[in-house]
Amino acid sequence: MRWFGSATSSIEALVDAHYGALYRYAYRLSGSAQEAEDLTQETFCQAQNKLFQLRDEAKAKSWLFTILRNAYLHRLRANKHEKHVSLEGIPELPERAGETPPLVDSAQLQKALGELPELFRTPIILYYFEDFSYKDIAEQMNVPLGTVMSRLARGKAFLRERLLDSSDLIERAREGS
Amino acid sequence: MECHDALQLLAFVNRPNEELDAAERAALREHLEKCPDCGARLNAERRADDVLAAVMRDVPVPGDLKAKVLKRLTAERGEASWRSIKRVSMAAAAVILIGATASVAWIVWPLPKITRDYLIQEIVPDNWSKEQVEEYFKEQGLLIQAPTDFNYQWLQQAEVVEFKGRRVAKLTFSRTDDKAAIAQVLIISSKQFRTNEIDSNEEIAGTTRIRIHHNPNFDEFTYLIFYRGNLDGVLHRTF
Repeated sequence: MRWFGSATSSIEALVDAHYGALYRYAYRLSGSAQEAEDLTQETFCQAQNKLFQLRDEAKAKSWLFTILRNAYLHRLRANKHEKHVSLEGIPELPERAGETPPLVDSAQLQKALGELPELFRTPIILYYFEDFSYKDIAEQMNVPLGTVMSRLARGKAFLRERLLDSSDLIERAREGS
Repeated sequence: MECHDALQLLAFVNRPNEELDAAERAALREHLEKCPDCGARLNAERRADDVLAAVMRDVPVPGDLKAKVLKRLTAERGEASWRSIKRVSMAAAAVILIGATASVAWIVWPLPKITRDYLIQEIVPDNWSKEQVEEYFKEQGLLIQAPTDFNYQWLQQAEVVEFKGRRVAKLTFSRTDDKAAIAQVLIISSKQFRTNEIDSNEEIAGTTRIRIHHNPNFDEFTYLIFYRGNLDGVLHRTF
């Protein structure tokens, strides 16, 4: 059963509720404001055409995020020039207990995210960015829960190491403290 | 609980929509009270997560984005409507084309005519014997054994009909002096139906009686006989 009135009012309600979150997700995935805008528009266009597939209001957000990621992956496959770092050797849980995290710059974070392979980048963004459960993330990525946990742990470890080890950030942290 | 197990559970602490059961929460709480290292780690994790989450969300959204999205959706709906009109127009054109083609085909290849002679010769058997009946159905692509119980003098019609999705032979017998007496026989094969599961007892459906005869010489064939009235003379034996 459809959960809004007409299809037009349904899609407009979805836009109203989720366009900001989708844009931010798209920006963190792609690192580009223009691409984030395109992906957001594309996501809602696809949603408008597939609105009949949405049966459960509670899953609207996950559904839209899944559409956006698929659209992003489609572009990624068509444009295979991304270079990523290897996560080999990065422990899942770095030994940093008790350490005060430095100030982190949004652009620096984006740069670090851009170095992560998409399989690690997406769960990290979803984890920090929106209130998705591990189960939600697993469903969106169509992978087992354990895989999400493992990728998250390694992705988080990479981000912390990269950002904490940046002398620039440490310097700014000192200045800010 | 060991530190390794506690670290696994720490991932679920303070996460929205994540739930540890009561026993896990109690065990973790107990471990954290005893283990300062894990407690410190949990605090560090929380602080790091808070910082990264705040920065992750720090993405300004363009002020005109919503208007742009809505405008594009409206445009897409317009295009979709136009595409629908085009589809309907093309479908209508296709229907007209098919109609025109059918008209031409009708002129070039007219539908078959049914003549009185054809009806007399082909449809109404004239004193056909059992063998002639079998020959007729053979020409129609059905190899059958006609029933031996009937007097073929009273055969009124032999035709191929569809029965439960299969082509079967059908014979109609009736007495000319008693219009109420009629028998229709469907000749079915064990290659087409599970004939061995048919109940042979006589059934009555309204004024029509139903009998099942199995050919005594050819196991393959079974005769479903629907009849009413007095069939004396139509049958060599009485039911």
